Amino acid sequence: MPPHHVAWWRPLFLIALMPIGVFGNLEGDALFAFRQSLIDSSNVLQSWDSTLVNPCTWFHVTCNAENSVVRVDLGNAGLSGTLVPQLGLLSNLQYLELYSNDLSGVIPVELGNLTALVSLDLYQNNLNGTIPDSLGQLSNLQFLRLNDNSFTGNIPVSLTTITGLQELDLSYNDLFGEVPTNGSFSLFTSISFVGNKGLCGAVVGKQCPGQPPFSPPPPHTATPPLPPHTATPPLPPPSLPPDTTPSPY
Amino acid sequence: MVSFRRLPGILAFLVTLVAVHLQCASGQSPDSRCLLSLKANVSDPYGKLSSWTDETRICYWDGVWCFKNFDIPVYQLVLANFGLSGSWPTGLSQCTSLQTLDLSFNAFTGPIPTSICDDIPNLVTLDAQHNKLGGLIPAGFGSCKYLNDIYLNDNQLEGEIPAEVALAPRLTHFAVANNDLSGVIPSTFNGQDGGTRHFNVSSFVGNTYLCGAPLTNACKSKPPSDENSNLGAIIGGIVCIVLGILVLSGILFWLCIR
Repeated sequence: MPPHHVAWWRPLFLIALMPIGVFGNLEGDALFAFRQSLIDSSNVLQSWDSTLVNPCTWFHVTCNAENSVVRVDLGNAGLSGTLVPQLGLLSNLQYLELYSNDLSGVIPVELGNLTALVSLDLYQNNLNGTIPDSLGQLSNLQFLRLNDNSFTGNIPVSLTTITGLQELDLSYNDLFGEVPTNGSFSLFTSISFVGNKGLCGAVVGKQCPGQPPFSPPPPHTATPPLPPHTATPPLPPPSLPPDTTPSPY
Repeated sequence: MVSFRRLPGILAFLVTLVAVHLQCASGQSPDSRCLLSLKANVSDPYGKLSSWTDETRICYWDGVWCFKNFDIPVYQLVLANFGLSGSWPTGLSQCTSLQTLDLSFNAFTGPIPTSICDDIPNLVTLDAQHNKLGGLIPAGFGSCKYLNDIYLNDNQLEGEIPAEVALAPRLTHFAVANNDLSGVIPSTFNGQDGGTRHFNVSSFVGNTYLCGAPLTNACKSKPPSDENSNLGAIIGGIVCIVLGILVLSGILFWLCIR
């Protein structure tokens, strides 16, 4: 019979293996946890095999040269269920495309950890709850489309600090409160906010309660010299397979 | 054999068919009508708009960017360096969600419509630099609620810069260098007289008869307008021709006399 004191090293051994994870890969584990919270009516996640060394061969998952996940493309995939906090562990994720499904529940605050994220497309789902303040940490975000859901609460002012934000769509939700117009939001028109009965401010042409009438624009500070124009077109929206058939890997 | 009594019915049917066909031909949606109108009124020698055919796929047309992952509406038109020429595109008011209009580095001729902010109320960025735009800068720019950027440098715009333009509440970039603008830059553009905007010298250089802060050159008055000098040239030409005929007649007469 082994003495009690031998067992102490076992938890340490398991902790040392943590970065590799129970199934061999932290990112694979995270995506597998996501799969487990989904109902996959079209069987698009059939290839998501947790016994593989990493998720890079899974359909609808794209990795970079270091075998780290950069894209999850599950738009229009017939999915229902919820998002999971573990999605925030995908530290190199650039494109999270979950639009046009039947996802419900809230946006986990942990998605604010995805600092490499360029595009967050959760539009056309059944998501609810508030837009987390933590999304303001997504400093590389260019496309944020949360339209056609049931998000409620205010538009987080933290989003105005995302300097590269090119496209914002919060239309057709249940958001309320004042629409920011500063920072990156100077690029957005009423189109980005339409269909939210409770929103107010100059952008939506509705005075906010308790506010004075629309004030004149604030004094403008000196503009930097105009940089030479490099006729670069805007970054295209991510080109995605419109159907749910597996991509040919 | 067709009965004559049925003829009105058949005619009505044919008229409806033609009308429906015409409607389809002119554009299935406001956005496609907007784009097809632009294409019809522009000269496209390099065929850069040749992809503009299948109206079910307008979001895939070259230079067209749509708002929601290739679903209409169109929110950006980027036609930079397409080799296009013609007057300012018509029909843009049907692109109701248009926020970026980039016509730069083409050969569009002016003028810019004074109704631009009624036509494109959601305009955020206008880039029409390096074209052949003439005429005046519309005061109507001041009505653009969301306009952040106006790039009109390297054109042939003339006249004075309207003070109202600086009233566009979100205007942060204004470039009119290298045009034929004249007069004094309004105080609304340089922070003086309580103006709320302050643009750099680089926004205004290259306009011989433009002066006033932030430019430091002395104001030069513009010579008589092009129209008058053209008229003068025509009159001078006629006089020369008449004199020439008289001299020639005189010489011939003198030769005849001899």
